Amino acid sequence: MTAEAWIAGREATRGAAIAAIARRLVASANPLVAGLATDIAGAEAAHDLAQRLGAVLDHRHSPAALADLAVMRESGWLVTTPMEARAMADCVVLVGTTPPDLPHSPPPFAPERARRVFRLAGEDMMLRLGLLRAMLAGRRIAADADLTTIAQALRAARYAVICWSAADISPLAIEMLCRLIEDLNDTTRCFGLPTPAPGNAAGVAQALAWKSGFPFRLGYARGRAEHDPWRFDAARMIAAHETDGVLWIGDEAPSVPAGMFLAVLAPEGSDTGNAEIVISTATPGRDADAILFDPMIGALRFQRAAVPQNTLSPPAAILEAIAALCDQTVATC
Amino acid sequence: MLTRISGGRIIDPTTGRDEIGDLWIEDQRIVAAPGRAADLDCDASGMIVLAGAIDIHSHIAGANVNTARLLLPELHDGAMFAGAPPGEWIGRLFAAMGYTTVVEPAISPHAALQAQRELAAIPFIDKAILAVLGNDDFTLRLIRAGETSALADYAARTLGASGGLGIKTINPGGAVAFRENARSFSLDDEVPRWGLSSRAIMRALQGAVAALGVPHPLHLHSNNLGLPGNVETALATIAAAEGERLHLAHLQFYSYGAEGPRKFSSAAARLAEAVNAAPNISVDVGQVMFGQTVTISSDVLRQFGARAQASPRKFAITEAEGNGGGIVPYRYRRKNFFNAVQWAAGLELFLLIHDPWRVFFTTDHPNGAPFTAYPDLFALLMDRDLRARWIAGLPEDAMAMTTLPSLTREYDWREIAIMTRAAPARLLGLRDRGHLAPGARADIAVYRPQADRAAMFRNAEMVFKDGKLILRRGEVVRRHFGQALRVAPGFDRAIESRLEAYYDNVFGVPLQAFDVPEAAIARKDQPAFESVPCRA
Ligand SMILES: [Zn+2]
Repeated sequence: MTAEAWIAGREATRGAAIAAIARRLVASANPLVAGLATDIAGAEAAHDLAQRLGAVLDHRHSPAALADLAVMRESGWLVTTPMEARAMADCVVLVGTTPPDLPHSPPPFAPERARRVFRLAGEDMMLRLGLLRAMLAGRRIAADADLTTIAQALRAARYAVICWSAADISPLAIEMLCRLIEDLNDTTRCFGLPTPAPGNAAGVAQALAWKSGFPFRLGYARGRAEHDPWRFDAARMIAAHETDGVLWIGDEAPSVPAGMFLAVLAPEGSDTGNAEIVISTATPGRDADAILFDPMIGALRFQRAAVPQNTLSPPAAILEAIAALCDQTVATC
Repeated sequence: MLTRISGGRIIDPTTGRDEIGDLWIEDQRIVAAPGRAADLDCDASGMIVLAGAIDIHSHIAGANVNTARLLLPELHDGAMFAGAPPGEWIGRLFAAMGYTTVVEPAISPHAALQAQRELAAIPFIDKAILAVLGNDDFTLRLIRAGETSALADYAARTLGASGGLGIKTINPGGAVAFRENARSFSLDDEVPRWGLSSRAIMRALQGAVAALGVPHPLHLHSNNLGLPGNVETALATIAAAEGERLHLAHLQFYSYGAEGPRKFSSAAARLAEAVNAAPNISVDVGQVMFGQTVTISSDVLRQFGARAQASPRKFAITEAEGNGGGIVPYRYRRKNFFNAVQWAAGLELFLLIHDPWRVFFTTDHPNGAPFTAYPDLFALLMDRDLRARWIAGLPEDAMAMTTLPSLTREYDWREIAIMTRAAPARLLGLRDRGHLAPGARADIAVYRPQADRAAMFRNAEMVFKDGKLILRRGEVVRRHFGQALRVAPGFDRAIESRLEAYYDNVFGVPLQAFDVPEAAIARKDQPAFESVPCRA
């Protein structure tokens, strides 16, 4: 049997590792809980721990998730769900290389309509989306045949869906798409379908929002919840030495500068950076029951463990155990 | 553990009790005077002792509410977050007012898991969801085919899988019309490609709910919300129920005439008369109060249209299978003619509907106002002088379009107790809540009378949940978690194999992807759900 925890490269018991992490985080002036590639229970537990510590919370994939959110909360958006898109769209435009294809068969809710699916990828995306919007606005513009075909299809469609991934395109391009969708709704129906960022980022953002009112890049240093996409950027904080104690949840842990404490809770085989303390966890949804955001249904879904095992604990249980040892109550609500 | 709440005025409309006396609690239940000394004595002399209040319609959880939180980070000051506070504050602020059960009324069955999980994180209170049907393709298929009993089976299966306490329908057919590019939709408009009217969908769902014996009647968000002249729709909807039980949600938003120089007037008096004459109808008001809020609604057609009024100027509209929804921030202003008429129309409904057992206390939180406005509203209903002072500060031309200035009725404690305790318990089928007879769940609110009634309601002197003192004057005494209330009517399992095939065909996902198993939301110390019996 392999070990479950390591302290400074040596095997340790889980209990000893939990106690050591709690001690170090309580001693940190500006603790950071990051990575956050975890299930809903893990996100809730991470929130409660951060609140107790006065810590900052950030997600490994927050740049993409926050790029979508920024467009919504700057001026608003009209979106649909993956299931509705599958059932209803007669025209689908996949922007960038990431959004998955949809069946090309007629939409079940409108079976008499054919479904046309286009992919818009390549260079100069901003420029091309600008041309597309101008064409849809009725301006006579010389553009390549692909773009002209897409413009005509969007205008003719009864229910178009434009899919994008914030990992592929710039925030300005997302904004452009949302305005284009808005324009089309003057005469027909068209909705956006953002592709959720990996690492259960959508689910974690939801859980943090119902716990605190805010998504990630959330801080409790002043005792109450604050949200600041720049100030509470984990990568920036680590690079600028604005944190002295990092608890990383999930794969792809960074290597932190000398003198900075790093502990990692992650499934076996994960990249744990230069962590001083590591605890192996169960993988939520695979070997522990979990609630995760499911991109197929565009909602949270309960996933029973496919390979249940009881040696490793899920991240939530470890986070709760750490929190129970951190009695330094900084904030109440 | 035996607790005595001594010397308070106990008002319990269900049993007719209104007297100074003692109330005894043993563990989680109210008991008759046991003839032995209490372990804990809570002095309530000079105070009012009521059952814990029950809110039948407040948007407190689910994907739409959470989107509202994400949409408005700049308004998250203090605790109210522009009307969409985090769960912790929802529980604490409701409990402080003496509320011990709150119903989230608009959950798409496809997003029930998130709603139930959010509710599980709300401390202090019990909670429940209503599951939304009526714009989903499967419901329309069954209605069009005349499959009455299959529709009831489907509704029952949906209640079971989502953990719902009842069925709601929202602008039935309107969301389907919206995705087919409709810009408006009324009671007898035909749902494109279905040949069904909103009326027909409503009637079919009323029938399904009745057939299942679900205590709560169909909860209807009618067509044409917020539009001038929509009182005609509301009156036609009451008539369309044909004497069968129906709950009309946030009626204030349907009480508008199109009279006067600005073609907008209160028609609440006419509507109240129709409600008075229709004993099968219950309503909640959806009172408007002034200030910043955010509108959260699964009426996607209406919210799409409301984007132009957004303040601040942004919105999140989701068109979805089933209902979708829309989040549009909004500020109700005292100086705004329309908002002032809306405020008055709500109060007219409260004061002109005679039977407190059929009119329920809501602001449609947060659509008319955040629930934290309740204390001011209670005070307005109990005090006509206070109303007169408010009216004096509002546009005269707006008040001229309402009957409010002429109304002198004042609610008394008994009426408050009925409309916020006894009646909601009866409407939802919660037999051991909303009253103080032996055997009742010991959910109790104790208020200290004072000149400032709003202050009295904002922070109850003592609040007991499940027999434990949890808050005193708004301060937490003991952390506590309630349960989720649901019904689980039986049904013919044949509907499941049909649904499985349908989900696989249309959506390419398994039906069970949307279920809310107990394990997903259970806390370590207690079961997640409490089942409310259906009528046999
Ligand atoms: Zn509502």
